[in-house]
Amino acid sequence: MRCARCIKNAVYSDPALCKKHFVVSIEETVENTIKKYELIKKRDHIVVAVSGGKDSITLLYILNKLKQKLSFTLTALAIDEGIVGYRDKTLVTVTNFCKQYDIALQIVSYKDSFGKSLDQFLTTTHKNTKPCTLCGAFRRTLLNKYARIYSASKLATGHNLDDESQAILMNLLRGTPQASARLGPQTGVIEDNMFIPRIKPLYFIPEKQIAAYSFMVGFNIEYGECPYAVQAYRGIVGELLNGYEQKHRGAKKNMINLFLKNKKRLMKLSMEQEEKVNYCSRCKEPSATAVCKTCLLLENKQNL
Amino acid sequence: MKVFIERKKQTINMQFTGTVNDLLKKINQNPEAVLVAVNNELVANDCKLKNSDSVKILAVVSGG
Ligand code: SF4
Ligand SMILES: [Zn+2]
Ligand SMILES: [Zn+2]
Repeated sequence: MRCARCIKNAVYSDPALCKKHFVVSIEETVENTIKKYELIKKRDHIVVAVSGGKDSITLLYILNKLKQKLSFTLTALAIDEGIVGYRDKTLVTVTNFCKQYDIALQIVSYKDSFGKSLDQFLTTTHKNTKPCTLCGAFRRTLLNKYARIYSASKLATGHNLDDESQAILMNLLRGTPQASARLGPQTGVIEDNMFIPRIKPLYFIPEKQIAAYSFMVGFNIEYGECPYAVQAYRGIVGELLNGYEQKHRGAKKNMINLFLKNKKRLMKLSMEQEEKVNYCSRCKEPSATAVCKTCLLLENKQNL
Repeated sequence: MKVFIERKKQTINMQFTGTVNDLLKKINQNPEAVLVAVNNELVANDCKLKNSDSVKILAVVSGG
């Protein structure tokens, strides 16, 4: 198979491109997504949520490359949940990466913010809470809070086309399609000073292409797995979609596009059901409910 | 041919000639969920493999 842009051998099949042109094409897609959806404007300060996995490292790397051309500034924000044997290692990766590329990095821990590491919560007060429920709520709270504290105009995350198509399908299968109104290349529908809008510059890039990009650029990262990660519903839906994609090329992308066409209608649907942003009466962070999920979890009042 | 499957941390030795696609079919891997490297370079799905190649099947999905 030849590269579609030169005479070299393709190292990737769909699209058929050589190494050099594959790398260029990924970066072009990210730039085009940013422009088409106006994800980043001049003088924006972008805080990038970085976990040390291939998605967030790729995102950080590409944004760092684009920052001069599109004139914005960048800070990386890593969350230290306190997961021994896993997060300690990925934080070393993140720290070295940011040093190498001269990117400002802030690390915020559960221990400093909530008094205990995730490991400690799960072995003492929260033995019966699902790890990802606790962890996910805490992370969402801290990302928004610290993005705001570090003066972000946007918070960028490494969500890719697979993440998004999985989320859309899961919402459909659960019978809550209106929940997808919160998806899309930019979220934060609600205008609120306390709430930092989120952007997903890797929105149109399939996970496989991000893995290939990471390999070709040579980030040289050990991608471990969180010991609490379970083969959740999302994994099953992911496999289902990949199985379907194998037979019908473009299935995932078609889903995304169908969703984007209908997003406005979904937003209307969900706005009729949702109240606007309130502030949590305990921590004062934005929340749809009177007390936010993080505070409920901290008080052990919500064991999902 | 030496085939290392990253996800299972398993190396298998097998007699094989054919394309990357044929190999993935044979060892039951979805091409959407893996990358294939031969002698540490990624290759396209129609790449012909030789019995002397050292092949790595890399998992695309990462957790956490
Ligand atoms: S897999 Fe679950 S517990 Fe582990 S980092 Fe992700 S959300 Fe937290
Ligand atoms: Zn080329
Ligand atoms: Zn709260």
